[in-house]
Amino acid sequence: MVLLATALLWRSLRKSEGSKTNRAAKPENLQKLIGTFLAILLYVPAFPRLGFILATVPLMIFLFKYIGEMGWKISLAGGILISLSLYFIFKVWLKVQFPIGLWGI
Amino acid sequence: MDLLPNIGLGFSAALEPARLMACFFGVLIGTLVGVLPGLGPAAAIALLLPSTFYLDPTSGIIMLAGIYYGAMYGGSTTSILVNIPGEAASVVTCLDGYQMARKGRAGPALGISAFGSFIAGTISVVGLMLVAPPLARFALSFGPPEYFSLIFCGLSILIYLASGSILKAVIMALAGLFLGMIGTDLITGNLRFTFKNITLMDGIGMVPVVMGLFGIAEVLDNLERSFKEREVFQTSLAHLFPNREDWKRSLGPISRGSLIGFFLGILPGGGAIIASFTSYAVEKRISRHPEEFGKGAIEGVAGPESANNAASGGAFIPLLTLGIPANVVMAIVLGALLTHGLQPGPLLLVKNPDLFWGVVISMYIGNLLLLVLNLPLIGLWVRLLKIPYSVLFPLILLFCLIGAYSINNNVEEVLIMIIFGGIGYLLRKFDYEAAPLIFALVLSPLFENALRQSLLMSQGSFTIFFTRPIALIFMGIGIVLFILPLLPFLHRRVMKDEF
Repeated sequence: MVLLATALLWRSLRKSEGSKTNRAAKPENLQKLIGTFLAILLYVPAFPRLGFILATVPLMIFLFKYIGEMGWKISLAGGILISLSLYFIFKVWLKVQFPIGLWGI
Repeated sequence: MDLLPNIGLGFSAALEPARLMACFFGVLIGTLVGVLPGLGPAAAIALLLPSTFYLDPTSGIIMLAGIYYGAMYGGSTTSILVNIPGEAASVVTCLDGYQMARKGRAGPALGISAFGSFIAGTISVVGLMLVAPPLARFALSFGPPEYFSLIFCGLSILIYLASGSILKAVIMALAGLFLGMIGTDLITGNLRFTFKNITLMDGIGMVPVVMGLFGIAEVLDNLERSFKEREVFQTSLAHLFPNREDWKRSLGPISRGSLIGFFLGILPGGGAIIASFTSYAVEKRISRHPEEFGKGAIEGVAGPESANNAASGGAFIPLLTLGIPANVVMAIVLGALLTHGLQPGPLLLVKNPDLFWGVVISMYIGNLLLLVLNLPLIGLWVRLLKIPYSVLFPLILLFCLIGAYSINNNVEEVLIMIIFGGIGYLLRKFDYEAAPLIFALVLSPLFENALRQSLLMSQGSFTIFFTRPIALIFMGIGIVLFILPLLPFLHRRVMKDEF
């Protein structure tokens, strides 16, 4: 293991000089990217506490509205519809055990 | 050879309504995913993996296989119509396929790629039936040292063929091996790198890692670019059937492409991408009118399309007979088999003949379904291309979240997936390939087990890998592949020192 680790470190150190091929992202796109990442990260603690529907609807609305830049109506309707239909597909049909959150849903 | 009763067994297993449905859905979803750019076959399989755990193992594997070759097929449709390869293996198809579409010959291009894929798929299934059983019988004589050296050899081929830097591929493979070590020690039962976390005691699951590296990372990578409307090339889709002249020009490329694809598909790390490029190169070289290539030569569509489909059949051979996956997708399928409690390898054929032959025959049926499904549905696929990404990506993310959760109903696995999503995104930015990592992660328990059992056999001496003939051959190939890329580097060093 020690041998592997040193080899890895040596290789990555050697390599780091040469790799400057990053494509720079536009700032506003980078913002979206980080926003999306944080949103799904936040979903992890929210999911078992709030339950599937209460956690998913806000996430979907956020993604549609702010990241996908859609109108309010579409975002709201889309978020709610998608959450509800997936709830039925997974919980009722495929019988996945979702955590029981607030209000028992 | 008791091939015929086995084929019969395969048909009876594959034609059960549930299996047929699994095959149909697999092919349908696969094509859909292949058509949608920005979602490759590996991501699609990773996404749908958890839902196959609710099926019986045979249906599950049939569906995954269907997704795989369906995606291969769907990728060609977008290459031809919009010059966007749906997945990497159809990059080559863009060259001549799109040119054919621009000349108003989109129909024959799509048609020949459908028929070529079908013929190639059939050839590779026949090859699979002929090659797999003897290979499995041969592999039955393998002990732990042979397995260790075989995996070593497989890993080094994968690293050798990695598209980017070989050093980076080595790093990724080593990282994968390390991740695979997390969890409970196989022999002594010690906990390694778990930090007393219960989820980590079982080891890091392959599914959340794959979903993170391919699903989440892919979405993040796409978000970085601005949403813009994809331009769909308007073309007449009449005359889907290639004419007699087209057929005459395509038969050679299709049969050569099938053979190239099949044999390259068997090799670890190669698979469909290399197969399609090789086929294109071969056709261009032996063509009597090479100047037409790149300007809409039907050979340039027929050959690579056949090759990439044949490769997806060939790729199943090492998986089903040796338990060694030939590419990332196969590594995920291996993970699926393990989750179902099946040990892929030579014994699979003996213990679960219905699974083995069922999957093989279902691939044949799947190819037929693809042909029937796709010719009338091309128009629909084209319309699907117009779905904006802003609608698509929240759905992909949500599927990942639910999928990762539903493996063990464990939120911590969702967290693992998201973390690997972030890692995967950064890896993409710095041009590291995720494939060697997944490959090493999936194989690391087998690899470690084989190593430690061998060392127990030899009482701690590493010479056991070099004194048994089969092990020696595999080790030899592996080591040579590691040294080969170093040669030009060393050579340059020496030259530099001289001046």
